[in-house]
Amino acid sequence: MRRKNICLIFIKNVDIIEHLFYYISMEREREELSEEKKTEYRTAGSTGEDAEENVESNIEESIEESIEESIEGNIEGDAEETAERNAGYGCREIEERKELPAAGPRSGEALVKAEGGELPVMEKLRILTDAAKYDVACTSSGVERKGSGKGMGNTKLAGICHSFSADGRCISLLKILFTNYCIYDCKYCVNRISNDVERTAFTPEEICSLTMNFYKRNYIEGLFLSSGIIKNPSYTMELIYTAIWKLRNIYRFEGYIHVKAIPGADAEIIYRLGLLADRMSVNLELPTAEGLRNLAPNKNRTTILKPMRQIQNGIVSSKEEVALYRHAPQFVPAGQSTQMIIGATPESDYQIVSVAESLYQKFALKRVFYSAFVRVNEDKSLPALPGGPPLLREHRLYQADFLLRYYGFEAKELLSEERPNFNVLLDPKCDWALRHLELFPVEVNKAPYEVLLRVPGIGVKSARRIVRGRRLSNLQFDDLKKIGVVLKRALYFICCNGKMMYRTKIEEDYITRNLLDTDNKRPPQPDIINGREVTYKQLSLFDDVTWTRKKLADIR
Amino acid sequence: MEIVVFLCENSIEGILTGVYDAWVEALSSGLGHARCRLQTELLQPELFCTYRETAPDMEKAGKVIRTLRKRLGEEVYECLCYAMASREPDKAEAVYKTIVAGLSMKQGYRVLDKVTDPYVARCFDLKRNVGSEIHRELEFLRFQELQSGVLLAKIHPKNDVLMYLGPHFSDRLPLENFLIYDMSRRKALFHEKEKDWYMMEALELDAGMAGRISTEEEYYQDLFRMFCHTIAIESRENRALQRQFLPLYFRDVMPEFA
Repeated sequence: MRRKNICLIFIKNVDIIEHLFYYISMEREREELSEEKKTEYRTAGSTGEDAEENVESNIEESIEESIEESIEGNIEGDAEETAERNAGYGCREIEERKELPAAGPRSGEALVKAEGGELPVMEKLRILTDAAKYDVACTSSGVERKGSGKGMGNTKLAGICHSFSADGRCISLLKILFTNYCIYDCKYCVNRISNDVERTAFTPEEICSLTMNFYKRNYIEGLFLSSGIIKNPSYTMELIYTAIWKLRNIYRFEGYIHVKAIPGADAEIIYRLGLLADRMSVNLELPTAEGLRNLAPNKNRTTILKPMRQIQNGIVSSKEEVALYRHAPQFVPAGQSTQMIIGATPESDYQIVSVAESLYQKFALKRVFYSAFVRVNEDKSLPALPGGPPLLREHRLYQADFLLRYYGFEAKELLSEERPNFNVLLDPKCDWALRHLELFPVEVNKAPYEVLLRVPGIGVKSARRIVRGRRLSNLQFDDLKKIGVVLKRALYFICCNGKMMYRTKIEEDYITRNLLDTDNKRPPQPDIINGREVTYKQLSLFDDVTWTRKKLADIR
Repeated sequence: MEIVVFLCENSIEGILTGVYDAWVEALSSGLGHARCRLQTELLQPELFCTYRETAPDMEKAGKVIRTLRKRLGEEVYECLCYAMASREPDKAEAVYKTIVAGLSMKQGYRVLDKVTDPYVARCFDLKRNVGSEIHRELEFLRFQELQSGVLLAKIHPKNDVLMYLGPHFSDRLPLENFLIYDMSRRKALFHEKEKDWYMMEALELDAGMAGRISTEEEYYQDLFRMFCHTIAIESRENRALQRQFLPLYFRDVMPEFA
């Protein structure tokens, strides 16, 4: 009986508890930030600084400074205002609202009519899909939710890719812009205000009916909604909110919704949208603040990082609430992601990977996406890119990204100030292994899981199966092959019961030659140049060139 | 050196009944499991083998299923079910010997980790194959709305995966009437609004009724075709990658490629 009463008390007071958590998390974060600043000053003073640490701490500093500015500058005012507004919009009340908020803006329909011209949905879809296609953050993964039986839709944790486009990327969500009108003039974007493209906008009803009809036929897994900025960020987000609210509450859509948060919008509207969406993301656009200043003068680092911090805190406090009361509304259950453009500004791979690492650690992002720069505008501040978009570089960055997230690597292990760019012929894992041959060969039957993960050719699933399988019996090379280890690469680095598969020299050049042979990537040079064999060191000469698939094919 | 080979029907009940019968034979006649084999069809009669037919029996199959779920756990049971849906000829043997291995271990749920056993490894391979086909069918299956409001989907999977699509789609579309038709096996899975899903066998799809698609259907197919076409970035075109993810044999029933 007592437990029931306590639960009742909790339910009634959840609103209060929610505000408490918000305050507590703000406080904790302020403490953390001040502590971090203290340790930074301490280490900078006491130990000597390497060139490496300099760059790293510079990047970290710049991110932290912007966080500091954004948080400490505004948070006192914001917290009180949001608390007041939250008291009015208690989370339970938002869900139970039967009609749209009266103070919402006019719908896209009125907007389009005002600008003149009403296009058929087919044309609108063509224009707004074309405008949205450079946003690559399009996955439907991260949350597993069953249907309620009263609506349409569910989600799968791994995500489902319903189709694949001609460029090989997966089509899993209906990726559209609400409108491609925009007041900003970012130089890399096809929708910039100074471009002369046909502009249009959807109405919320059109978006909802498109989503529901495509979903019913199993064409898509959900909706990905972004927008150009009309009037100001908060106004645009309110428009997006009308569409999403309708989709969730009137059409009863229970599939996946990914919404882009526009930097500069009110914290309160982001909070409301986060209760309806599964994933939210804010585009970082460019890896460094100066790159952003050069190419997107209307955006700045502070306004981009502030909503990222807010979403992160919202996710944490929502999880704590759900632990208390299972049916509390969830805020952005599939997590947060972001996107960076690669190749538009002259940052090195090392800088990009360091930024990604900081984002994962400080903002608890689910994923960082890298988008190879495609030259859609003629502008003197954009690079020429004669070989086409830097696809190989993007591929290497994604490989490094997976190493950071799943294989326990750190950015400084993969790259450094002296080697700021990735090896073009070998993937980052092989490259790291070849530079650390003193750690190999690894005994498969005895080595710990973390060490097995570092062997080229052994992935997460194979490592897991090895660890579970070797408890029951000793593993041989045949068993490893059945498990799914890529023996062609791994054989140079592992041994079973003390014996390696073939007699190999644990030597950089020999292994590199053989690895490249296996991948058919060896440049057609003779093995002996100037009387000496081709060495691994010579490969680094190629690092300065911008490689593309076509160039690689030409050389072969 | 007598080997007894049991021939069972190519279905989950058939194979599990075969397992039951083979088990009884192995224990009662003193042959042991090594001298009993299970096959779904007679490929090539071998010397020194006696062949016995087994008819599927729900009671025997039920007993085996209960034992499996209790002793080996749900995960292993699901793996075996996937393996039994495969089209490979040696699936019954792999499943039978995996069950033997599992029930002889103290911790039966660990049987799939025993990668040194060739039959367990084969079972895992079959499960992986069928599992990935199920996932791809979930991705590439397309519904067409008929005039009566029923959603019709046609598939032709290589393995018998129709049954595994039921829970997913009935959870996703509880308020719709839909029918998924397996063209190569002539089976159908159907779901009525707000009710459970069922399967039927030996069906022919009435071409006339299936042809009567609703007026909006063409419109949405055109919209989706245009969406898929517009969303590709030309400077990154890579047809080989697209083919790797979306093999050609799926494409004939997908409206955006038809």
